Amino acid sequence: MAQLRVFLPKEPFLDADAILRAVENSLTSLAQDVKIDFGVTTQTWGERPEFTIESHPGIREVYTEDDIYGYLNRGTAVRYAVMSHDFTPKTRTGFIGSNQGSGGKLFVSRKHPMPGITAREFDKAIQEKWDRLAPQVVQRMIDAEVSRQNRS
Amino acid sequence: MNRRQAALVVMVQSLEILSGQTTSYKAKPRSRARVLVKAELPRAQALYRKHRTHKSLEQQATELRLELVVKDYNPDQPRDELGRFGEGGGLSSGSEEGGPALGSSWGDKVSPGLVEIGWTPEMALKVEDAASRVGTKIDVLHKGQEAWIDPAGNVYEVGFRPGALGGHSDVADKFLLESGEDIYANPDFRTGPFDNEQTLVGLGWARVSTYQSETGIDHFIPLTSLQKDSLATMVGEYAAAGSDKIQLEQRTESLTAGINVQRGLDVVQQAIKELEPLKDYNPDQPRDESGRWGEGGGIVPEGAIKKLTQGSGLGGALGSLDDSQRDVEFRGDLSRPQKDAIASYVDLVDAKGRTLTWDTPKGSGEGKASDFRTETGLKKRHLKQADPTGPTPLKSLIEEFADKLRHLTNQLEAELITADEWESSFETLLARYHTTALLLGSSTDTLTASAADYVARIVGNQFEFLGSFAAVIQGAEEWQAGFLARAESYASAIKVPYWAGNTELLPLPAMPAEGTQCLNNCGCSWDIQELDEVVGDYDCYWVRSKDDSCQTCLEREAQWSPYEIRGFTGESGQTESEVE
Repeated sequence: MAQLRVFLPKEPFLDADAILRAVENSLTSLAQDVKIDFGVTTQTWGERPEFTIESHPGIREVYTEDDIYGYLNRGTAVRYAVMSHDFTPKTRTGFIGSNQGSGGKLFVSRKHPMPGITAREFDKAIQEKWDRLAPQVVQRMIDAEVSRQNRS
Repeated sequence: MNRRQAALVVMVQSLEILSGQTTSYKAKPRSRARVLVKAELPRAQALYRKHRTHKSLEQQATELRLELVVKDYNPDQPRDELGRFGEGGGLSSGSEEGGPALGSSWGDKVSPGLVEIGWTPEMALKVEDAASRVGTKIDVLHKGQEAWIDPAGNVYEVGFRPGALGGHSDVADKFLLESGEDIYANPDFRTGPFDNEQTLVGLGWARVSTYQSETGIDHFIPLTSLQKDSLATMVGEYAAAGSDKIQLEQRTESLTAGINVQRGLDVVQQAIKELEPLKDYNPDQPRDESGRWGEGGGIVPEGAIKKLTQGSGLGGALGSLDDSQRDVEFRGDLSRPQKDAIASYVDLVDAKGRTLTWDTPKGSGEGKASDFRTETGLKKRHLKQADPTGPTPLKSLIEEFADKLRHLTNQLEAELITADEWESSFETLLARYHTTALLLGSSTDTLTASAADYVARIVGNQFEFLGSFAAVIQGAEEWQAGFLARAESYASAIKVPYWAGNTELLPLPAMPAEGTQCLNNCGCSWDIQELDEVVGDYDCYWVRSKDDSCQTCLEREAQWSPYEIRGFTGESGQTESEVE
């Protein structure tokens, strides 16, 4: 995550707990945003991988354990799946989304190694997107904290 | 072994709180933004007061709309062999014979609160205005070329005539003849929301729509045998009336097309017969955590209830909103659409100053709406719904802003001002209208320090975009056709501060138009359900507008229904736990 700075209002004064709450809420929000975008990259898939948010103080990790998603995200050196002639992929590199595509896997054979899967780098694209948008999310969480202070 | 195949970590590496934060912020565009937001505040407040009146009008129009459509249910009203209400009761779009066109069967047959189909208040007022100018009285609002079939198989036509597929209503036709203005051509008129469409779908209704020679039948849930009979009959009617293309779509809750049959009456009728049948009623059917039965449940009109209980049965809570008996009556748990419908109705009764009678599993009683809410736990509904064109005040503000930007950019094209003057004025307008949007969203003319910082942040981002745009203009050899549209597109960016204000600065993960594929065209909104004001528990629903089908919005709707905020004003003040 890129370094970011946000405006802290002078009034009302926010104590350390309030700042930490704002930070935790920011992390939660950004993790949710990231999870949504991961979901978007698999929206047209038949069997959609599950993405999980794991939460620890100061850290949120959004991940999947789905092998196929890993192959696509990272790319592979070689591909053993033989695809149909009309196959067009649902996803493309750096695109946070998924199209309908066409065709599909015919069979898997280690006798026919083929050029590997192009890395889609979903994680990188999503990170770049939310690096750019994170400051306004964090700012909103600080504003929410001020709003909370006014309510309570 | 770490099985994680793809992961992104969001974390805080260091937290540095600077003293004198405002001066430490060096980024030039954002510094300018802060200064401009402060300088433009008085003008923004004046704009807020001007556009706030639109908001008031919108509320009045909403009440008018409800007044127009709510009528007592009359079980003795004559129907035809298909169970439809005849002329005067049906929603024909105006009979050829000049009978009681634009009847009131929505009001007759549908519970109040479920009837706001396809009409924005502006559209309602336009139609009323059109009708009065051509000397026609409108008793009830209608929308052309659509029909709904309730679970009991009753057909509710909404300005639809099988013999005149694709035809406009008589009012619109007369208006066109006399004034030369086609009210249907007005984009406001055609793009009304289907705020309660999903409510009806949730209650097990099937929709039939016709556009020119094409007939589409959507159903989102398993149909009852009565619905299937009605559908098959209607398909025959459409074919006889010249509809040469019939499309049948079966959709799941995520709106994924299933069956898609085109052409051939026999094929479609056969497909209807083969549609997944409705399961028999089973009181032990598992429910979700919201108490929903899943597909098929809902509040249905009294007449339909009788049919359902005698027929194949319908899962879910049965409800009644019948003035002649009790205002609100239900047994069992309610789904969210049901709660929404009841909350809307209770609000209406409350607004009229009437007392309310109710009979629910949590008790029976009579009193004020607040008593009802206390006893039943049904909270007052936050009326925030997705209108694809945005709420009226926001829409009018965007239009005004776009006009200003167009005027300013035209001046640049005509070389009446320099590029620097254009950019400077553009920045001033950005600061003014973003601030106004936040004020409008939060319904106050006071800008708190933190809110000012928030606006400055997003205005500063806009300044950076504008700087790039200005460089493109200055680097261009000649004026390009796309410059004007690009300049106007900045107007839609004020949706983000509007919704930030509208959601009362709750810690929500994203705002409409923020990080979506549809960018500033986003028509979604947040619907905030306050569960416990003291503790600060909220269920926040991402409400997608009908016209919005970008993948980000679809995903947010699926995952954030609801997005839970718990204990916001309590000790923790944090949003939901994310350990899943």
